[in-house]
Amino acid sequence: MADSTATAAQSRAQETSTDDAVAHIVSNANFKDISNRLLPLLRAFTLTTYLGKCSNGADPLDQLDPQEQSLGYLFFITTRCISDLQSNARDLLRRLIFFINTFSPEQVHLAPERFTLIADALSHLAHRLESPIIPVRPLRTAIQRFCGDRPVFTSLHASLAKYALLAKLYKDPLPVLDWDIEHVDATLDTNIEGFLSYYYYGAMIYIGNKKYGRALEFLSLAISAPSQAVSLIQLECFKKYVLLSLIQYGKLQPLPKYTATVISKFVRRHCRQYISFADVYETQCIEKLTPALEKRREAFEKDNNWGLAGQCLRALQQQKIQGLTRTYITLSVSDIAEKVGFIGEDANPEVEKNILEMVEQGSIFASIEHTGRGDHDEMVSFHDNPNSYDTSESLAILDEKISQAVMVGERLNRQDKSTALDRDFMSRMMLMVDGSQMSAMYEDEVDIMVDDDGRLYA
Amino acid sequence: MTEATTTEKSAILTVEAPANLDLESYIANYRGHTKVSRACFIAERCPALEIEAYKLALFETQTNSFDTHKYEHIITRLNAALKARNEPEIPVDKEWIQTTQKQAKATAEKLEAELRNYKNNMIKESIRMGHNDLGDHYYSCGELANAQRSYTYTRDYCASSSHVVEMCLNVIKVGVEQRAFSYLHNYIVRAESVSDIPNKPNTISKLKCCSAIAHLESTNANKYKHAAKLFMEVAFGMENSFNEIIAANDVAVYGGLCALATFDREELKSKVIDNVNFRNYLELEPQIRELITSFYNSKYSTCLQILEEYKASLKIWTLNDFLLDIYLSAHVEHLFNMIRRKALVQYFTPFSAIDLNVMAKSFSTNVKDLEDELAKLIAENEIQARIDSNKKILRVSEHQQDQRKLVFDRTVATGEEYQRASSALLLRLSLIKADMI
Repeated sequence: MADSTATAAQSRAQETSTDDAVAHIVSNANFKDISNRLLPLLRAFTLTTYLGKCSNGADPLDQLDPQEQSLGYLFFITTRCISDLQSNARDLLRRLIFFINTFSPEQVHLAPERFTLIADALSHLAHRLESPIIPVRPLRTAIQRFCGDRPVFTSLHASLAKYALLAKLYKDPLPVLDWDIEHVDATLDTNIEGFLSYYYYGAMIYIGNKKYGRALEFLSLAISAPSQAVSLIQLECFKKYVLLSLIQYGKLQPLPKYTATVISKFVRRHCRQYISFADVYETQCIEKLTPALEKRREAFEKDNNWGLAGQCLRALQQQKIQGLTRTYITLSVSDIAEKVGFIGEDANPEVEKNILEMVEQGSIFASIEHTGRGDHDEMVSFHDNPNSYDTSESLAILDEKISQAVMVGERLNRQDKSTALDRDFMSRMMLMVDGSQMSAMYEDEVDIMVDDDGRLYA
Repeated sequence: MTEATTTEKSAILTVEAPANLDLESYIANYRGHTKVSRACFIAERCPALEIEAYKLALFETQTNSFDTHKYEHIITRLNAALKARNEPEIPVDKEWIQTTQKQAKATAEKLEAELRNYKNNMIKESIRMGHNDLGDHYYSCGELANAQRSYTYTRDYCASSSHVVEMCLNVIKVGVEQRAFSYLHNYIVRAESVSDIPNKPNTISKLKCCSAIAHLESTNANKYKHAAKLFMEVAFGMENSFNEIIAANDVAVYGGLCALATFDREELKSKVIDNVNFRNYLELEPQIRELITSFYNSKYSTCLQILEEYKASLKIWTLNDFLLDIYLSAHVEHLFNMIRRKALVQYFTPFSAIDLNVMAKSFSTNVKDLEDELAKLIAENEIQARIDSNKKILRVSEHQQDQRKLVFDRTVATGEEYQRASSALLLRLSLIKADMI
């Protein structure tokens, strides 16, 4: 029944007027009708249908309610925003934003490919109105409302990150970025490229916010995503990963062990400059680092990583100062300059500046004393970390962390159960009943050939 | 002869002639091949004694062995040295070379023929003796690889425990000279486990010496400790019966130094100072004894002073300049550093805060260097303290607070790590499920 309606609708597609379209949308009110009957119709309507006006001259968009008839509205408005014929961009923008703020997620879930078009719509409008900051907020709202409780990866995530970067709005997308994605759904019109781009851009946003740890997380997620071929995005991710790892941890953190081997080999071949730079850094020798940096200047600049690389030098100095806090209680500024490797006349003020910065960030605890006595006129005293974990604040923090960890544990449990009940998995296990092998397998964690990308669930 | 370069990891250092080294009597302590090796070793390192050493070596080679290669080698070096000093060169005794080579070859052939004969007759004992003789012959010709091989062949024909011991000792002897210590352990253990060893105390002592030297040359981190323990157990009765490899003074010196570098106070007292056995050795080397007692009594300045003197020059009649000793030279720097560090750590243990000036004076160094040394020690976690550079005080850091905080810090870090890793894995799983590769 539904089939014949669809084909019939298609044959009439050429003639369906905007009026009819609106009528259809309004008449199919309950959810079942919408999904069974309306959706194929909507998909079949042509461009003209959407762009046209109603016979009584009214704009269909005024007649449809974005909340009740979200699906229909979605089709209308996305088509209009994207097509070049419309000239009332501002008006459309207003309507689109209103839609985003009020749409009903269940209806929109039915047509995920249209949902993707929202991003395109917004970018068109932004371009038309020549204001790049336009897409960011609406995209954020859209994602948040679409996902509801469970953060799932949508097609809009990548666009959000990209436009935020282009508009240099580093704080806005943070609520979405901070919300860790738990789930990827193939029906939502997403692809691996979007996934990788999202994490790459997201990492860059975090770098802009100076949250290097989180940026590293994102990058490692992108690099270790299951792959059979290497994506250039992952290559770029790796380059930034090396530099960030040096800044944050002082050495190149190894990639997670489930990273695809093609990737490890590929990046080792193509990112030699970076890896050799990491080796020089790990010797902790400032005199060697500066020339190494200069030597690779061109390569870094080409990848737009020169800023990050410069920060590495700073990071090394700070790490050395941190090392000093473990061995000394007080030390004069000139001594620090000597030990850490600063040279030149402005070494002392440089050291002071570094220490002040580190104290502000909370990486060391120190105080500087200007006693004005000749050679040792500035003494730095290092103190112990006064946070001794016995205040109520720290207890509250611990509590929160415990509950987070428990939640993650629960998710793991759920996943474990669902996998064990999965039919494919069971048939696989049956195949491997070789007596001893079977029981041994069961003893282990769910570590069964997880790096055989794709073949596990093939 | 193996060139010293095979074992030296760094460039050969030249050492100034020690003031009163009596080369003759030093060398007279030794016998056989080690005499030549030691003489050459000294010659290579000490320009002042070069000529004398080479001459001694030459004499020894010519009179007591069939080793023509070594002879040639020494002669060339000696002549080079003489020429550098514009002295007349010594002519190469070609005739001796030729006769010796002919003789050597003849003996070798004869021995091999005999051996073949024995093998045909299947007389086990004769075969063993034949191999042994062949091994001895090769050894005196300086063909160590062949000697080694022959000695190992005797293994299959050993009938009694004394044979086994003899075989092991021979193999060890050649191995030590080749400075290939890795497989020596096997033989040492085998020899020790033989049930009734003839001349037991001496043999056991010999084996312990070899084992200790082998440890010195190994790359084991705890090697000095093992070596020290073994040296302590060497019975004094051995005296100079083993001076084809090592002399009694050497036992004292090696043992004393290693013990000082690695034993803690209790061990030092019980195993070294109170050790009646080892005390006899220490009699031979009063300097070492003084070294150990001054360290134990915390008179660090005397102790370190003696060390310095040992390193560079000699005292009146002691004969061991460490850097000129073949087994010890590679380890001298290292051992001295270890002793110095131990001294520093030991000095600091009873205090909670100490003035660096006072400390520097008792260690006869200046404050700045001391500070650097201490910083290094702290970084390696040997001293739990921190330096107050302003007032030049070394202060103990409180542990208690640190421990508890450490646990908390680590817990938080582990928790976060767990969360991150699990989330990443779950996400990855769902990616694979969604076939997004």
